Amino acid sequence: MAKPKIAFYWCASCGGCEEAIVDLAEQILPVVEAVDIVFWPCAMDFKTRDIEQMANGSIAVAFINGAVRTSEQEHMAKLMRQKSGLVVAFGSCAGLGGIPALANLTSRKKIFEASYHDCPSVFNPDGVEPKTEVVVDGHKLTLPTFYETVYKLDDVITVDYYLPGCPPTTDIIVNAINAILEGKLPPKGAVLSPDKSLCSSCKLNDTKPDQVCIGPIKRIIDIIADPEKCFLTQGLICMGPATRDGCGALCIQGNMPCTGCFGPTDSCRDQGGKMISSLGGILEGEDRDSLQKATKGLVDPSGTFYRYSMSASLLGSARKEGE
Amino acid sequence: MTVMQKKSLLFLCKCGANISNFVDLDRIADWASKAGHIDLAESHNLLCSPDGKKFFQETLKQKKPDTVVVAACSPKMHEKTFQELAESVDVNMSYIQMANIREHCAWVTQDKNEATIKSIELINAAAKRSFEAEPLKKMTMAVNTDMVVIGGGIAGIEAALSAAKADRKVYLVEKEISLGGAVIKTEDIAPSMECSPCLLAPRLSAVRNNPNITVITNAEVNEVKGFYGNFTVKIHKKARYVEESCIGCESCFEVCPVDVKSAFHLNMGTEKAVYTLFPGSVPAAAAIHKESCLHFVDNSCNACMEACPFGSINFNQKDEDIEVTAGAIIIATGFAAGDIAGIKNLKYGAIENVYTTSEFERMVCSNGPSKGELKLKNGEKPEKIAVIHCAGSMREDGLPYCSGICCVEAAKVGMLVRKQLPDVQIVNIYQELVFPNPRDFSFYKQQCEAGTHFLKSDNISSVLLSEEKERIRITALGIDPVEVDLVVLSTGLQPSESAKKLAEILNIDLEKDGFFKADHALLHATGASLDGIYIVGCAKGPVNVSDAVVTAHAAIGDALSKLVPGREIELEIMTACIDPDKCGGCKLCITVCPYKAISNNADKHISFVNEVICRGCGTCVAQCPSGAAKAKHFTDNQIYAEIGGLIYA
Repeated sequence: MAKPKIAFYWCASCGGCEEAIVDLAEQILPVVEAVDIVFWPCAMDFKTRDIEQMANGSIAVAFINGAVRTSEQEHMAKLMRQKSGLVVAFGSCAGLGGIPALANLTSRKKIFEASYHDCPSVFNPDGVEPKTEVVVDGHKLTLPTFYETVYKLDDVITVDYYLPGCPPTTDIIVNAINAILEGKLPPKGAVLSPDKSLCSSCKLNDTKPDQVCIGPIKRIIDIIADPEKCFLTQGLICMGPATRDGCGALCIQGNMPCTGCFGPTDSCRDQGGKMISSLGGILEGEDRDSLQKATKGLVDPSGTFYRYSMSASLLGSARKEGE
Repeated sequence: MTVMQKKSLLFLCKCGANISNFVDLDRIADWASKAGHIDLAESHNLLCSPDGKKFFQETLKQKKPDTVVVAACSPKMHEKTFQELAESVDVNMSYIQMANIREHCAWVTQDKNEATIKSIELINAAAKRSFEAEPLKKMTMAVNTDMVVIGGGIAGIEAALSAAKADRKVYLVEKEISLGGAVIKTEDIAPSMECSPCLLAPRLSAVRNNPNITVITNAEVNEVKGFYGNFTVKIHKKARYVEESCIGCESCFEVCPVDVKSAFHLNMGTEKAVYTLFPGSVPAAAAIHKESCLHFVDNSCNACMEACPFGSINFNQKDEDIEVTAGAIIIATGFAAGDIAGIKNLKYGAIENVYTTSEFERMVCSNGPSKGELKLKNGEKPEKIAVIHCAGSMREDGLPYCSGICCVEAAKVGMLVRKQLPDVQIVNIYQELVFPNPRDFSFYKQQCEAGTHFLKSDNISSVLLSEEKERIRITALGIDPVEVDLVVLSTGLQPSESAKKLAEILNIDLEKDGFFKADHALLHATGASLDGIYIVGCAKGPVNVSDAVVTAHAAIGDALSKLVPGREIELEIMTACIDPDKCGGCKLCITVCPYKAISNNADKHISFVNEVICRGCGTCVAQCPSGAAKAKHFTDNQIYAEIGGLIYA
């Protein structure tokens, strides 16, 4: 019997998800043994036309990481969808928009202004900007369209499963691949990680009292965090209560609060909103003045609460000019 | 596979002409027939009429709808009506959704088109919401029908007697060594000028003789667990070193060599180290001031023990912790006299012959420190007395409010003085007078006629006292200076010292002014912010004796109507619940629950709601960062569906 074919693709991402595959180290060997990798632009030399020539549905699973920011990414996502039995959104960007989606708070115009004009290291005397079409010496050259908004993968195609994380950890990748190979998958649409918050497995949760009241919010650069004490009770924003379990509390073990990369649990529609709502109940202070004091240290609310989930948030993006 | 489209059965109520005149019901019917998810029942003239109710029930029986939308009036009017009708024909109440097309549509605009569009939107929202409803289940629980009354003043006594009369066991807890509270320290109750001890004595003996009432004095409540119908109350009873066999014969008073300043006499007189508050107290037993008694100080005296004909003195008595259970708790902790020590102009404590109204009344009481004789510090009779109204009240550095009952007390001073010294001149200095009922007002008029002068100052906070050749000179804006021999400061009422601690123990709210907060100021004025806890007398704010008793009776009446032996209480249906499979145990919900209904199970790393305590406020649901907490009948799915229904109607 032919081995199942799998494919990897990356859209708008940093490459960390690709690293995560490589980080499987020797654990990748049985995977390679069991499957045929038919597409992996980052690591192997395949062309788009190789995929285009395959029969629809002939790829067993496509793992797609990265958000969708350009027309090319959308096109490739749709192509992968067409050729694959299962599509797995791999990592926070594909699942929720990830870090790239924080750009939804600004506009394409402003991004271009910054990247091609204003940035001090840019030398662009002719004021050139990317265009979708340009004619050079009678030859038409094209570039993909740079979208106004960053989308998560399931905004453009149907996604069967989600592997959370920035990047997904070795354990949940291996578990997911095994589950696929063994056909032991949960109902479609599932996130392949436990549906509880990180606190459920965090050792520091036991140090948290029943009555939590936090004073002025601090960033990790403001204090030397006590590694034996729940970060939230130290006034640090730990996204653990609003974040899905499954990472093994890696950041916490490294004395860093959770930043929320595993995204929300199934019952939560807006990770950042939920965390803000929750903080509202435990912040010290009764009146406007004391609350303003308590939140003064919170310099980047969107980046703190929606670091990975802007595309999946209820608002999705800032209102753009002309909308 | 085809998924069956759920359908909602729509009832359109014309509400006579209230709705049909302002909303185009035909157009709604037309929209409903095309909507796909709505079945239309006939519109009805008045769905809440007997005929309408029958129509509602019959239609439900016949059509067996998935869900029901009643487009009629506010859910506050009739949601319960239709939910109960539905239950009576085996349709779960959760599937009944009201669309308020009367108050929210028909009554708010003259524009029929607008009202109709909005009605359609609300009906669509209600239908969409109803599809997400999950069945609700009524829960009941057996109750303890006994009561704990905290505070043994007139309100507490009356509450205890009323409850005991209905065969309830009552635990009456008092911090002093005997009952009577503030009223027993007074001589007469204005405006009726009824003799206070004569009023209270039969009530005290009724308490003593009532087998249903357990009086626990020299005691304080220090822990309360549980909830409406099932409280466990821990009471710390301090040792009094005198056994209950003591009948208060006072034989020990004569032999006790130690005099102690008497708190009962507001430190104006003395009592012995073994003492009762007054003859005929309930309980009758004396008590010993441990810190002054020579037996305890240096073991040099056993005089009382030797003199006691009943062998009641027991120096080895220990403090006791008593635990009782009850279904309701009545707070009757009274008040404290407004503190005026910080108001320098009044020279209270600095000039002799300046008293508060409570001190003055104690002084003229026949059982007072001077046996009721009114005299100055030098032993002479006063010739002129001033009463300063609102002393320390209605000012930011004192009590910022008007207590409402002190003007009568201030007017009473003149009457008490004239009773023994008819020729003394009385002048009452005031800025505002408050005589809020006909009896109080005619009492005031009587005092004017009897010779009390009322002088109006432009600003009562400007009153300044100074010593002037053995007399007291009073100046204030808007009046000529007055020289008198004795000044009575009419202080307001502030919350009792124990109010704050008790509020914490009971987990109930206080008003900004520190008095206990009512559940509803108009409709449930004697209920505290938690079910099963009542606030009566001055615990709920300054009241006169009559109102104190009224509130006591009101609270007991309400408690008796809710805690009926053999009848279970219905619990809140729309509580919050936490899905144990989803809860991460982050404990943040515990902090915000106003009813202490959530606990953490450390072994399972989850939190859970005690649905008996939960009132369904939803605070934990908003708090829960992982979405594990859910408000029954107000789930995210329902609310999102409702919003969606509004937008996409």
